[in-house]
Amino acid sequence: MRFWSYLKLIEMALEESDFEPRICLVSVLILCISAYSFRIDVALAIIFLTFLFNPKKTLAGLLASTPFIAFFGLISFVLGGLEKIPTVTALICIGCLLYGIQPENFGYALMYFRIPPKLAHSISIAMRMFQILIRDLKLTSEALRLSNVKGFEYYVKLMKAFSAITVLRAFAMAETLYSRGFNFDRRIIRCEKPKLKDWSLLLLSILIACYTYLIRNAL
Amino acid sequence: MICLKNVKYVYPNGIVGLKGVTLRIEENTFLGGFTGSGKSTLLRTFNGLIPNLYGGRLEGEVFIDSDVYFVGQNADEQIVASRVYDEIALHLLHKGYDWDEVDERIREVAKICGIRNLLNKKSSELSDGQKQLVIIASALASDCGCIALDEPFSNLHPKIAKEILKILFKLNRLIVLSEHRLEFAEYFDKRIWMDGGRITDFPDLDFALDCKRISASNETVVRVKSVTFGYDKPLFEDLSFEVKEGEILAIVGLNGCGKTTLLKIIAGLLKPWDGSIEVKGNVSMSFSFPNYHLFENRVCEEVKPKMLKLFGLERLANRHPHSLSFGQAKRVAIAKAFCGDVVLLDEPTAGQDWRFKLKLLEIARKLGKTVIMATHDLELAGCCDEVLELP
Repeated sequence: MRFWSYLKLIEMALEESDFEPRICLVSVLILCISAYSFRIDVALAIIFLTFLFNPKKTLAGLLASTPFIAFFGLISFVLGGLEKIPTVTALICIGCLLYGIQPENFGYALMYFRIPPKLAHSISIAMRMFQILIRDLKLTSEALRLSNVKGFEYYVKLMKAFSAITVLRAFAMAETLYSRGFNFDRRIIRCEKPKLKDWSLLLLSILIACYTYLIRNAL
Repeated sequence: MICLKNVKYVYPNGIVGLKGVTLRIEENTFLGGFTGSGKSTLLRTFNGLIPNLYGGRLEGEVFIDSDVYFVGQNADEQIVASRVYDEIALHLLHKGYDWDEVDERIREVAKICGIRNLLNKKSSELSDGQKQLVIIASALASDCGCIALDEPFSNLHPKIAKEILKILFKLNRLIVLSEHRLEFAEYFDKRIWMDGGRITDFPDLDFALDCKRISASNETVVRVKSVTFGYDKPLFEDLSFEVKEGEILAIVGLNGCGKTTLLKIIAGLLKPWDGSIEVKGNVSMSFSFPNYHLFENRVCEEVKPKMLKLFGLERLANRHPHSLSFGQAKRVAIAKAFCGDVVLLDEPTAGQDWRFKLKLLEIARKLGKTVIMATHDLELAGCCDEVLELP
């Protein structure tokens, strides 16, 4: 697979979805706790759930994570823990669900749950920065494609340019936030009313959590 | 009112930005000057970016009696939020306005700037010009008494830029605008010229671009045949044109009409929905954000010596390409792009003074390169061999 196609996959995996951030955040938390039972059936249920709500995004996320899953599989094969692969896959699917929240709304949701504004804003900025950097990486690779550089040299040059751009971006972000009078300590919340889709996500997440709890107690 | 008294500034790397600037601004002011003359540095002292964020050594007195909203040169770098609505809201929210007030202001400003259709868009989906409009809209929505704009119109169609300027003047706030396009200077009460970090008299610049066209060869180098492309909906349909060897083609049109997209299609970075593209020879492109093209450790490794000399970049030869200012990096990226047979340039005059425009056309004609450029600079476009206006 070409590098820029891979970047497109990551971009697709990080695309925004229209979940209500508070509900999504709670659902993600419940699903994560359930996933840590390390049961294959629970992991499969979580993967199915994420596919049910966002098939394209989840598929892109899983395809983009293939190298990581393969690496994890290899390490597990040597050191043991192969049965944990479904759980790792489920966690990646949950990550795709979480990354569907718009960064600003993610910050609002965190503040709604009494997370200190400074921390909430920092997480929200970091999420936004990640989106910007993925776009920068894509455009840098596009520029490099035109210069006919191939093989190992392609990746060396890409990383050289990208690391410099990362620093410039971080500085530009700081400059813009300063110019906009950004105040880390200000508590700003905007919440929309959850829709049927959000409640269904929450309900199914609770069902999975209940199933995990019951099955663990039954054993 | 802005008052500076014998202000000197030295950047942390030792470069002198301002050399004793004494200035009093009480009315709308136009700030002109060549690339690297210290315009951006001066504007950054107004809102405290210099020295609070940049560091370095600032001497002298700076007195400002109101908040200053700074609009920087590169719109792409200034969009922080993921949605246009949130971007415009950012400043107001952090000033303590409540959501109802913010919403009202945003809708009002969006109507004035003609960007109501963009409010729910993702900022990554905007063209450079649209980004610039959004940044200006956030400045308009703010309650700052002074708006300092650093080349805000470089990616805007002149018609839109003039409309924005009229809106800015209606606001009854102090406007300080730094621009290379001197046609805007006549709208201002006061005009200042900067040269080498100092304030000088506004010169009587009488320049004309060399519109001497050369006869291009008969060989077609780029053939675009019945191309249709778009994102959500078609941007252009059944578009056909040809570019001959050695010809300079300017692509013009309103913001968001697909100029950059068309360049990317010609470069092979995007596949058209329908139609075909034929290009003979190597294609090289310079994006509007130049740093995407800079991969080496020194400028001299990035650009061939012949091009360094032609573009007057010798004094930057040993600098790291990413340490350059936007305007300088743009020149390096353009000089690098001139190594290809077909040169695609996206907004080549952004951050550049009129001397560079002259040089750009001169070099293109001297080297006999086939150049396709997307530009809002209608003066430059008028001197190209052909002009393609996108609907």
